Amino acid sequence: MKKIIKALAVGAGVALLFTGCSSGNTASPSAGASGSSAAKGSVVNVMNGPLGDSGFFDDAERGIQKLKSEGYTTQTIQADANNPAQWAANLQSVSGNKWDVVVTGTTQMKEPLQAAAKKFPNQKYIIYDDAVDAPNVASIMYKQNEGSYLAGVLSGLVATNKDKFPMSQGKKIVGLVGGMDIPVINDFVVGFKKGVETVDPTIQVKVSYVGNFTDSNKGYDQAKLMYDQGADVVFQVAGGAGIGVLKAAKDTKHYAIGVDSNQNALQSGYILASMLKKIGDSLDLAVNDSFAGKLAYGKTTSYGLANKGVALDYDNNGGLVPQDILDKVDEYAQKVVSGEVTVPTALG
Amino acid sequence: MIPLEGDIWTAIFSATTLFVILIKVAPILLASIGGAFTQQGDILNIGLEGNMLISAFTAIWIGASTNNAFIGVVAAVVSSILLSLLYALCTLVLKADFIVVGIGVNILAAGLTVFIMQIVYNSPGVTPPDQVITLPRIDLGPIGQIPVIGPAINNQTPLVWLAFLCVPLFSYVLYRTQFGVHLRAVGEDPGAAEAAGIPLRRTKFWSILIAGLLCGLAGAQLSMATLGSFTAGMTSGRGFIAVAALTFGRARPVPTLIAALIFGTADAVADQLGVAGFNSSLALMTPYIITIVALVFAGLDLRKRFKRRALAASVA
Repeated sequence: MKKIIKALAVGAGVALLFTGCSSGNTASPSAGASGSSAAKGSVVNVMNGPLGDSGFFDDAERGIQKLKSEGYTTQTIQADANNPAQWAANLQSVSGNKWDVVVTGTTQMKEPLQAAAKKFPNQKYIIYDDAVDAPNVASIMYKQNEGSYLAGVLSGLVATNKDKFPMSQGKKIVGLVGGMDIPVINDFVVGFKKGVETVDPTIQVKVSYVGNFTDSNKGYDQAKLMYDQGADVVFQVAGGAGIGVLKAAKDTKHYAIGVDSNQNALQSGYILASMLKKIGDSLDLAVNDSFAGKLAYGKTTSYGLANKGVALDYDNNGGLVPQDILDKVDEYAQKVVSGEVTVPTALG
Repeated sequence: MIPLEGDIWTAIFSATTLFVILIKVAPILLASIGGAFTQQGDILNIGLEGNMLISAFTAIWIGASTNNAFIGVVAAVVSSILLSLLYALCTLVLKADFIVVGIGVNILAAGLTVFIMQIVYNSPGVTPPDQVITLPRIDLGPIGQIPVIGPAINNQTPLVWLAFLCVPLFSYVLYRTQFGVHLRAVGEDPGAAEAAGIPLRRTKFWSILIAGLLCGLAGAQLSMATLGSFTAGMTSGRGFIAVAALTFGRARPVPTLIAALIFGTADAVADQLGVAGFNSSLALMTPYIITIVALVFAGLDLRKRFKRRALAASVA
């Protein structure tokens, strides 16, 4: 039943899209339409899943909505998360210069985009969170190592400021629970370690891996061990398994840092912040750059601290982090932006 | 031994570790005893993983919405038994292959849990933070003061106790009841069992339902013991570990218990090593290395026994 509704919704979306383009064409500035209805340009977001994940996709949609409020004509096409054929069809159906810019994202869209970009060499595409090598595609990647650096700085400050963080144990230990021992996750690890080290090189960093991204019980067990051994903060980079890390923070009454979406309210009062890839903001920036002729097509642009592609999100953390600590974290962020500090990476 | 900082070895063999080991063993033990039931009837049930997953989810879904852990456990068991009914229907009535249907059960459970989460909570990954339900813990009072053992068994959930109670219970059913005798006969020689008038299909059917019941408890323990929430795919292979445990234990009560204990202990040791900074690949391999070593020793012991028996037979 849900599938049927979904199919209908997608059908309706496509139908809307066609009406959308035709009106878009007549109202385009190049056609010399009246100034009031003239859009700055048109952007369509082709998704490979539905909205409502309160994370990745919803964040991208925030970027699209922001563009809309800035005067662009926008459209978001949702899809069935398990139907790659549909994603490819949606992508091709919007290609061919009906839209100024076609936005899509994630590794799963890489292959469909490669095909579409070849077929429509004059269409401009933007892909986020992965890279496609084609002259008409601008790729956006996120520097998770720089975001993790801030998480490390924050953890280091928590471990060395027992007076401001009452649940600290004063043993100068912090931890990170990763999903798997793979390059992407280790990019978080090296950034985190660097951040901790910058605050105080004598702080010990414990790192463990769950072995997958689903075993929340194992995430709990590993984080609890870290807390029992004196860790003040554990940064989780383990997807679903990390939910267990956050629960362990609550059960042992210590701090944790979330990832990917704002997880601060999941265990209210114990999660200092969440490290996010600012997908929406980066899309807004990239599209604006594109219309200004500043976006490099055929290249990969990395969004880090300098262009606000990654950040620590403190919203809904219950005021766990006092203002002077926030300021200090920002100070360290500025050092990365200015180039004074280079954060190491585990990726090529 | 291996050069590690501090007192890692004493940390591994502490009361807290014992406590964690019992939590880790309980779901594996329940599922492997369940699988041992069907194995005694000659069905290798690899759908244990799916049964555990669906019940882990139902426990939270129903338990949290009624705010009653007991109702959650009952619902978990019902959901798991329903899945077992489907398994029995496909294999016993429609004569499909046991392994293929087992895989189907696992895939169905993985998809169905995410699907229902999406509908009920509008979130495919994890149950929301306001939908939390945990099992009560049993406080043993003065018994909890006994050194080492006390803190390990104090404040465990009722399902942990039930898991260990299942071992003698399984032994009793298998060796002292008519059903157990029938089940073993069916498993050892279905032709002879049928000739003796034992209802083949009905006996297998009940063994599948018992497996469903025990996997339901295993799933409830998995999601409700410490986390109180469900995350997609949270069984993460525990059902297959249970299959390995019952294979290792040759589907017998005590050897299966020992196998489950080995797996649980190895898993806890792996966590300790991982957090202590041991090479992560080696740490995560530990449970499997220990299993292989244990299997080799079990094999050696078995061969010795067979030799002795053969010798005795030749003498006679």
